[in-house]
Amino acid sequence: MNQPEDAELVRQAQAGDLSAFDQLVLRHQAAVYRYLYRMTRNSGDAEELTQQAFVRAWQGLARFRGQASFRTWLFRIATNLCFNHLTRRRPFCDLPETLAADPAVEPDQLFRRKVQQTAIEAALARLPADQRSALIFSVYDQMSYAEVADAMGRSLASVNALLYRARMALRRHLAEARRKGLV
Amino acid sequence: MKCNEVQRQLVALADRELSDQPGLAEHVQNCPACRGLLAALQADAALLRQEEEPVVPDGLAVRVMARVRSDSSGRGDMTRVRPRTRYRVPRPMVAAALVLAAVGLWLGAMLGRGIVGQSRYRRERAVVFVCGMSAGSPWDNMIGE
Repeated sequence: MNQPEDAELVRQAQAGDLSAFDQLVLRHQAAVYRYLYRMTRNSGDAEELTQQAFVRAWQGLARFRGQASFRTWLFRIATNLCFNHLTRRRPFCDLPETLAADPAVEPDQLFRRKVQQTAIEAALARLPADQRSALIFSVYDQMSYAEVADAMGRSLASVNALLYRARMALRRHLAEARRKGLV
Repeated sequence: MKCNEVQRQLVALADRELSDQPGLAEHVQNCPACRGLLAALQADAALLRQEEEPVVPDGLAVRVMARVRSDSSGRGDMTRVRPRTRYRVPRPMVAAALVLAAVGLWLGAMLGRGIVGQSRYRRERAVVFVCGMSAGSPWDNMIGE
């Protein structure tokens, strides 16, 4: 059976159908959480912000006119919440997880993967929040520049400039990590 | 096309935002530096995508919906858009009030200046009169004579 489109679920939710909104939550919660986790690098903050984003979306659903997609509108709410959060709080990273004992993966391979992961996280964390946000949308969420502009409430030209600066800065940070043999 | 003009487009090209830009493909083909930069940008994006996906916590959707439900139970009709302020004054009325206030201030200032000017004139006349009385006026001399 075909799943209803987001636009149809939004119309039903706007009419007060909470189960339609429930489906929208199920559909988008993972992407919103992952975006917020990559921005904050803290699982507690990412979950709190994800919950706030959906509550705000529900509260503001009557104002949603469908000019942008529901997904980019939701990401815009999440971005605003996240930027406010990042300016208020000092960055706080989760403690590194213990290495999973996977018998299929050699310990040195596992260690190397973790080092690489940490180097990538560090390179991303060194970017300003707006550049990091644009880069996450573009690289991980595979958004087009127009979608990134919608999700960040920016113009297309501004997103172009933001992504150019982000990619050039990331290149410098990753080159440094490569020189140190981390990636 | 110069390399510095091409660089910005290379980022968009690496992000699959540009497909057929006139002169770009030829430049990249003939310029080792730009070709190298494009390859490096693509490699960076590929490296980022190798990063492990953050694990979504179990039961997140349930907790989100519980919070949405608790929010909506205290709010009544969710489809109604709340006005920003309770009492809204129409903008033309605000503009008219501002214009009236400005005219009033200007008139007040002009009127005030007129009164001050007049009183200064009267004060000067009074000083001349008193000084004339004490120091003697030309008429005194005439009488004395």
